[in-house]
Amino acid sequence: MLRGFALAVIQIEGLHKEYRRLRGGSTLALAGLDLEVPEGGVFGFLGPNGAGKTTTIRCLLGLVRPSRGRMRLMGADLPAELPSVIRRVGSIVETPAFFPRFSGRRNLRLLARLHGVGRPAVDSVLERVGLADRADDVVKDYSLGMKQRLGIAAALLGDPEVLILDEPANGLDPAGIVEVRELLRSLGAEGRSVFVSSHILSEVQQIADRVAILSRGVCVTAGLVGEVLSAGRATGLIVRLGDLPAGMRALADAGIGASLDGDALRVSLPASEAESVTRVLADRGLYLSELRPEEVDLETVFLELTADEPRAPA
Amino acid sequence: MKALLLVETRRVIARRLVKGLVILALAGIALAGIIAAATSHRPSPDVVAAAERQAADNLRECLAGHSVAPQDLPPNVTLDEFCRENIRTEFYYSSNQLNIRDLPNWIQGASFILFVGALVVGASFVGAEWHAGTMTTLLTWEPRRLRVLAAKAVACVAVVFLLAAGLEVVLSLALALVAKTRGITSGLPSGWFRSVVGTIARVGAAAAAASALGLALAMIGRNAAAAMGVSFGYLAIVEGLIRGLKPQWQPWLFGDNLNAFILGGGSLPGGRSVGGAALVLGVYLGVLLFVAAVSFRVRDVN
Repeated sequence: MLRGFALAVIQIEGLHKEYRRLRGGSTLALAGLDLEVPEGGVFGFLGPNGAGKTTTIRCLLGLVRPSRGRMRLMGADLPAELPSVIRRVGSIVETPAFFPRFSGRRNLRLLARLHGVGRPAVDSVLERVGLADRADDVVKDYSLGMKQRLGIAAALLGDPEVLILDEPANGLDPAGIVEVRELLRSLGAEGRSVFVSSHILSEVQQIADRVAILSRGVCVTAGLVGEVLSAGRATGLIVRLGDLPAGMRALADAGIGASLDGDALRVSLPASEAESVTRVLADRGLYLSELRPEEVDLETVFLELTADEPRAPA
Repeated sequence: MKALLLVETRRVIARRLVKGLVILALAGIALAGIIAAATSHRPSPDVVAAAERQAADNLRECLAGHSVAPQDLPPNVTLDEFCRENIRTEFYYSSNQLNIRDLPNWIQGASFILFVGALVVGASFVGAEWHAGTMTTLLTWEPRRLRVLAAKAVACVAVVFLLAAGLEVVLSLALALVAKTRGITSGLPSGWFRSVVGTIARVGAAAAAASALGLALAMIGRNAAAAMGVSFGYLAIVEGLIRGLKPQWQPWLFGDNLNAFILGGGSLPGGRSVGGAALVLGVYLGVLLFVAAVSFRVRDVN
């Protein structure tokens, strides 16, 4: 399944993770995940709750031991070689946890010391995530959004080449979400590889170059955002004109399927065949006020791809 | 590893629980000093004169062999040495004087409180990390779990040893001050100072062992309260039952060896030495830390 990007920062092949329950039985969180994340840019890792996003990230960071499968991070076999690359990776796993009675700055200084990162870097990342003013407050007084920003600051501390962020916009207010979006976009533009899991699809659609959609422990689609969108529901055309019923009749007579969609017609033809629509309608003296391809957003594709999937056996 | 150790040491020292327990201990020492000062009075010249007379009479009796039969003398001790060691003027004062000679006993008396405090510190140091989720954050920075455990254990044990020994030194100084001003400081036996230093070191080491015990159990159970519950339950109930039902196992129990270690040996049947008791305690802690390390290494962090 590895498609062989020239430079892949994350390569996952046949990853399985089965959680055994104390009272017997088990839960299959990952059911043979294949994934390849190329170097540079923002990679959106999408999936509904319980799809296995966090488990995948935990496997990558050595927190959870996979039942089977192979993983490589920046060329290092995981988990055995993780220590050799961990300094080049910044991460957030779910809601970042810090020592609640230490200030944000002190928490970061402790982490920075682990990797020999200096104090100026701490101040710099606090500034970058907009926490400089509250950096000396104790973390227990932070809102969820501030903790999330502190988590992003911690992830950025070592100036990492790869960022693995699990739902980084969790708990942020709309303004915060926009800030994080801009931050992730700029990090990707700097040449870093940003691997971001999220269920806020509109956010990911705006920042990601590539996405993968995970459902019930397997990757159901992956690729450039445009490719994934086009893999969704068959695209059509939206047509606006003065006399909708006449337009429908004209199209039906020409063997082109069309249906009413609010104050417009939805025509079941791909954008490449828009010309035939204009010709048929013009021949009947019907002139268009609007003709555009039907927009399919990531949410539509996501819902389509993740619906009715058989649950992986427990 | 050095950076990790330094960070963990800073974390132990910065914990509110540790600071709170140290303040509580210092307050306890101050209170003990005040009570000792209030109840201890330097003997009056009349009391000293009466005690000297009494001591002289008893020493004569003893040297004449009327107090102890030759076969009852400890090995390698002459009758003269025995009598002069055991019959001293200060023994015949009233009991209202703090005698600096008893300092090792005072230090040993405080060891139980230090043991409990150290157990709580060790258990909560790791248990709180699991509870708050900061263990996950730490492991995303340092994925080598054995290093993490080793750094935590070394930092915790070292800080607890230094704090416990330091508190015992403060206690000793406080009581020495009371003895100097309102009690008795004369007639110290040879080797007294060494005995005090040795007792402080052993109590410090016992506290450090308690912190390692708490830390290992909290790492296994990923919970501070469970670690403390298991520790107290085992030491108070399980070992208590074993002592009653299988007294021959007593030399191998944690609590008895801890007691022997703090007292300087000899308290167990067969007269187990300090080194022997330390070895038994070391085996207990070694096994627990090994189980904690294996558990930490193989279990998922969710």
